[in-house]
Parts: sequence; C-alpha cells; structure tokens
Amino acid sequence: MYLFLINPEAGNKQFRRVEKRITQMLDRLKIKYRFVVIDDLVDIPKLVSAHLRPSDRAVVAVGGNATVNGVINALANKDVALGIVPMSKVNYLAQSLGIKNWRQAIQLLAAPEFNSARLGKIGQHYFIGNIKVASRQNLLTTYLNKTSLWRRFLGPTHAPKALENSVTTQMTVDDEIRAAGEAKSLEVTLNGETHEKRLKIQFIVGDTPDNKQTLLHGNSLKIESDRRMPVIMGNETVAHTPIEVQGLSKYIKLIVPKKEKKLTAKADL
Amino acid sequence: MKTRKDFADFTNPDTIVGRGVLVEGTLKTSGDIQINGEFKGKLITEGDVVVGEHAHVTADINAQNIYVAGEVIGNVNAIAKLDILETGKVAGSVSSSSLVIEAGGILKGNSTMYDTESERPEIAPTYEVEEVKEETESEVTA
Repeated sequence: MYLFLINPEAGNKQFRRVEKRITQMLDRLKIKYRFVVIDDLVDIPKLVSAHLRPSDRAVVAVGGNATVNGVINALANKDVALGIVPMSKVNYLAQSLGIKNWRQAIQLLAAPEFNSARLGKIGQHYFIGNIKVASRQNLLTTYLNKTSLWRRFLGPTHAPKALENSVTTQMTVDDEIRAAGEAKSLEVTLNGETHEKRLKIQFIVGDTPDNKQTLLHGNSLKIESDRRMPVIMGNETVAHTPIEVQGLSKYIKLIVPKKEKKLTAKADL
Repeated sequence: MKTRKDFADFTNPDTIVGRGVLVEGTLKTSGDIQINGEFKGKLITEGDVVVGEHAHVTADINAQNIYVAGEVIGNVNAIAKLDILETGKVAGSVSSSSLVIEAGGILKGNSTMYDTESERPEIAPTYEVEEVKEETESEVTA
C-alpha cells in the first residue's frame, strides 16, 4: 500500500485535472493506495504521523519542489521510502532522478526500484541532492539565461551575460578549514557513501569556471556573507545566509526509474 | 609517475583552491589537490599536489608527487617526485626521492633526497586511517 500525500495547488492545480486518470492508472496497475490531501504544507509531518501505517511500502509526494521538500522533512527519521509524482514542470528532484512526468512516476510504483540518497540538513530543513547559494541577482540572471528562448535560439555562440554581482563570503569547513572570497555562487552537493567526506562544496568566484572554482570536501559547512544570500533547494528558498549545512550519515530510500542496461558487444552478438 | 604533460592535464583533482580565494587551515585528503589561489596552513595528501602558476602557498606540504609552478613558502615533502617548474619558487626545506628544477625554477633552502625505499617516510594518514587508529588504540587500552 502506498500513502499518497497530495498538494492540490501544485503545478497550477494540475492534480485536479489529472486525478481521474491517475486513479484509473493505479487501478489498472493494481496498485493499492490511500490519498491524503495536504491543505497546508506545514501540516505534512502531522499528516505522515496520522496516516502512515507500518505496512505501507512508501509515501508518495504528489506536487512540486515544496511538497517534496516537506515530505523529505517528515520522513527523515522514519524508515519508509519516498516516491515522487511530479505535478509541476519544475519538480527538481523528480527531474534529477529521471522521472519525466506523473505517468512514468505511477508506472514506477508498480514494480518499484529503490535507491538510497544521503540526507543533509540546513537549520531544521533536511535535503537530498544539492543546494545553491547565490545573490538574488545572480540567481535571476542564471534562470533567465537558462529559460530564454532567444538564447536557446542563438545557441552557445552567444555566451550568457557575465554575472556581475559578487558577495564577500567566508566558509568554514569542519571547523578546520576557512575559505574566503568574492562569491558569485556556491553549490553544496551531498556525496555518496564511497567518498570519505559527506559534502562536496563548489565555490565560484569568477565568471569562467576554469581556474576560479574552488572545490572542497567536508562533513559540515558554515557560510557567512556580507549580504544575505538565499539558499535554494530545487527552486524553493529555504533559508538565507548565515547558515550551517551538515552532511548526515542518514539515508532515505527513493523510488527511482530502473537503470537501462547497456548493450555490450557480447550481448549484441 | 606523472610527467610534465600529465601535470598540464591535471583536470580531475579532489580538492581545488581557485584563483581569488584564500583558504586557511589543515587540508587532509586522500585525493589530488590543485592550488590556483592562496593557501595557508598544512597540505597533507596521499595523492599529488599541483601549485599553479598564480598560486601562493604558505604551508608545509606532504604528498606523493608535488608540482610547483607558483610560489611555496614552507617545508615540502614529496614521497616520489618534486618538480619545480620554470615559474615555480620554493622557499624552505625540501625532501623527495626525485627532484627536478627546471630552468628558471627557484629553490631556496635545504634539499634531502631519499636514497632507499626504507628512507621514504609514510604520508601522514587521512581521516579514515586516523579513525581506525584511534579505535585500535582504545581497544588495546581496554
């Protein structure tokens, strides 16, 4: 049985438009489910506590980034897997897992494949994947460069406009290493189990990443800056500098698409 | 062992200090380290260290192979090879199994060469090894 936590507001109220098709698909695939509608994202931990049963196979977050982040927070200390059914085009985590749309996500539930992802923490927020820290102006410029049809049409020959806004930033890694510079952007990614350190920290101070990128690894990170910079998870602002980021030894199980097997020369024969 | 060509292609280091960034502290890792900015403290790795042309390092360095194209002030210990390139400058005591100073490269300080395998010191341990050692010691004490 899957517990579906549904944000009906996500993706311009997409769930209401596709609800019938989702239930039909679930029935056709013989997937057992319970739907719980989220009225307020703040209530997600309460909803999980109230509705999650020990026999449940997974909690399925139906919505956008904020919904998924909320469900991750609620499941961080529970031994239950997380499924994601994206209801907006910018469900960052679904995209990073290779889940393209709600149809594919529902199909995955019929024969789920699990993958563990390390959990990180910023203040009271848990996260998986990565977070970005940059001034609002830089984030906006990057977003516009990415989404501009005109730039897509012109292609890579017309490089995006240089980021002009830098912020004096200090980082302390594991209380041992201090790094300082004029930050254009900062990205913190959770390392897998194989790396000796839990966080990968990329610190960009220039417009070209060639030799202006700093790459450090650590288990905890403090970021301070002379101006408040937003901390972005997916495309949600979850905090502002100064912040402390921790890579945890905890993992969350995620329902992911099956890895495509590569054909080898032998198989081809 | 890395050649000069490999040095130029040193593209996938575990740790990088970029230009325009000052990093201070003790940096211990098992991977390769590339310094293009400024570093103060200690560098300890089981891998290689590259000090880029515009880098300023005030630190003791312990690594397998060390390539210096920038400026280093401190004691340098290369288990295998220390290569001071034409733009490189090292001020401090150096020890290595193999020392190359290219035309234009500067070394100000003492140099010790490891004659035999047994003379070569072990690289200071990384985090994981340290943790194991602590556990072993406590077990012995117990």
